[in-house]
Amino acid sequence: MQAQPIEQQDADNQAELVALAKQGDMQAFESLYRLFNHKIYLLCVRMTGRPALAEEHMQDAFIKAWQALPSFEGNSKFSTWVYRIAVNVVLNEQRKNHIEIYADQDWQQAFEDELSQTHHPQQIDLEKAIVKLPAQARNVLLLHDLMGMTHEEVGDTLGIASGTCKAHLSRARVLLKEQLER
Amino acid sequence: MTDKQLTEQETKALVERLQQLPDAIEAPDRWSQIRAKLEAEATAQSSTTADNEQAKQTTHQKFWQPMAVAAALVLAVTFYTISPWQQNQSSLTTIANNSTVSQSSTNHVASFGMTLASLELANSQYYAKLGYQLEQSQAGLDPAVRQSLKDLRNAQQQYVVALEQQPNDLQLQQQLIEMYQKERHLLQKIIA
Repeated sequence: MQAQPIEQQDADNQAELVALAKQGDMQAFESLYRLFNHKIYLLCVRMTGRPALAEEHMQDAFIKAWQALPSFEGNSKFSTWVYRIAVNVVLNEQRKNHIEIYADQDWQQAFEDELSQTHHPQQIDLEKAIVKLPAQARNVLLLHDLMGMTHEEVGDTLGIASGTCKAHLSRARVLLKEQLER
Repeated sequence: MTDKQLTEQETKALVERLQQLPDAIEAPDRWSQIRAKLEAEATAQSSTTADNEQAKQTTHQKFWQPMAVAAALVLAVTFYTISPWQQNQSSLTTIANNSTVSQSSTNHVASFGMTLASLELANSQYYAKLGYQLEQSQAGLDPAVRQSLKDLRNAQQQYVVALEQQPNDLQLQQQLIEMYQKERHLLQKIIA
């Protein structure tokens, strides 16, 4: 019998875990949490710039994912679905409480510490530059360039026209490059 | 907004850099908090469901209670009026009186005749007045119980035939009374 490729096995395992979790299996959901929490956390850190806030958002995203699991039809990957939930959690929070990031020395240090295990210095600089972008430009850049959403999808998620999305993206890229060159 | 635009090459280089960024970092473990919250919500939800159920039940009870009381009263009055116990009670008194007071065989036969008639009537009233309910119960009746009823009726028939030939046989009369009483008890159980 021919062995299945690892990616296919992973996808099958994930599908199985999702099916079990949909039936209320908390252990299966924990496995899914352990598979994706690191990615969701980084997404939240990038969107908020604040590890403590990101931690809360990550937690809320998984709670919402569990609650919405019965409606997950499997039309997209589970990871994509949870990413979208996390994005919405952060966006809702941003709409309610507009929190600016004060990129002072303490913040820089805390942010660098958070990424130091996984990022090399240039990558940390790039992450810092992303976080310092204006909120809407940052969100568009993250969703489009890092998460691979189309302009229409980004527009739907953020509640803006796709043309506006393109403008925000162009601006975000310019600002990012300028910050990196400083 | 800035009017400045990146060249295609600059954009490509920047996007490449962005896409080379790690897609995960070490995250604090929040599973125990997540689990606790989910369990707390599940508990709250189930207690809300239980409360709603109880509220529904209370409303249901509020609506049905007076009706149930009225129905019970009507049933009690009807039951008392047609009560086989009343008749049987007098029948049994008749039996007792008969065994102690009267030794004359003529009186004896007459008394048993009345007792049998009243028992038969009582049981037939049971069948007639509670016929619908009995029918309902019989629809899902245990075959063994149904067979018992059938056996009792057969036995009664046999005693009735035997008594036609020996109307003064005290033992036959008493056995027929027992058959009627057994039938009544069984009917009461089925209807209960």
